[in-house]
Amino acid sequence: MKNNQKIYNDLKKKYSKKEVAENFYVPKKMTPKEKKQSAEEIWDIRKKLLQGLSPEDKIYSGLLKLKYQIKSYIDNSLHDESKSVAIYLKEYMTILNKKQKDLSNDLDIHKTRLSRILNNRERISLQLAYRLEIHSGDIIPAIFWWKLVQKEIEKEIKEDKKERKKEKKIVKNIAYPSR
Amino acid sequence: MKLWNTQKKIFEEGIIDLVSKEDYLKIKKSSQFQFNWSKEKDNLVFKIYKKNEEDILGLISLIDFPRELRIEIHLLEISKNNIGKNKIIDRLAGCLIAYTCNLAFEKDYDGFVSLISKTEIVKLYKEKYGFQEKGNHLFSQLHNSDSLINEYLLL
Repeated sequence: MKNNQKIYNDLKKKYSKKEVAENFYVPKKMTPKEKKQSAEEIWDIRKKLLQGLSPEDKIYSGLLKLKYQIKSYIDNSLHDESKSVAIYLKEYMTILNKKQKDLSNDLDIHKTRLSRILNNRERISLQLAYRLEIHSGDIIPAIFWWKLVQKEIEKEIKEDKKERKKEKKIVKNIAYPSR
Repeated sequence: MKLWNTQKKIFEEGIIDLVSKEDYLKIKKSSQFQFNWSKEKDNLVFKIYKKNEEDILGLISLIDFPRELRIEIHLLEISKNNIGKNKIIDRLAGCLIAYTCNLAFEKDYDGFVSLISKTEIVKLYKEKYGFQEKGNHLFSQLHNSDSLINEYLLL
């Protein structure tokens, strides 16, 4: 079987330079010595860039990390106990290095309310989702926070037998009684 | 993610997933892919396809370097039917590259994605994808990686 480098060389004969660049990538063929040098070089580049990150860059990077982690979770249909509004909100505070008092002040909500949200005893409102979007500099959209809430409600609807039983006692005239 | 259907002139939704064991067999038998993808099994290999369709339209193999907080693109290939003037679906490579940036943010790598520079790709990766070139490498991070995600992945 041909190796990828050889296949790549054949593709270069078949397609234009632009087509090859747009549709294929194979790393350059290197000797073990060149490979070692290349690995050292990229690690040097990465180290320098990491050292050069400003506090603003770190916040920006942290917020994008959180944004895409939330997106990945809300795009997934499964529920994960280790992920919730409270957990992501705590992570948000860590990224910004803000205490509960600071964040409640920034968002103009009572610190007790924030504490209840962080302890999964109260859900965030739509207004608060908007405030969080604005607070993140529009990096984390309100819809992401809202979809997290929806995921929590979905789980509750699936599992909360107690509340369902309680409500059943209240409803009169059931349209089609289940057998 | 937004795939461009060149015939219908509309955006279509694409999905990127990890390649499964069954996929490797399918890829090997398919006339759409030339590279030996079975050799990439130790890497993170992703496929791109249209929502509600099974045909694999493109593949990317990635190497995760957690200590260096970066992901390296190791191999990329777009299916034969989607290359050149008569291609049906466009933006496949862009979506796969942007997905790599997304992964690099999720892993807390500042969206840092790199690949070993080659004369053939430098112009395209710099001009089309905004990669920077340093020494033997091309890379993207932070704002550029986020722009690629916004351009290719977010509907």
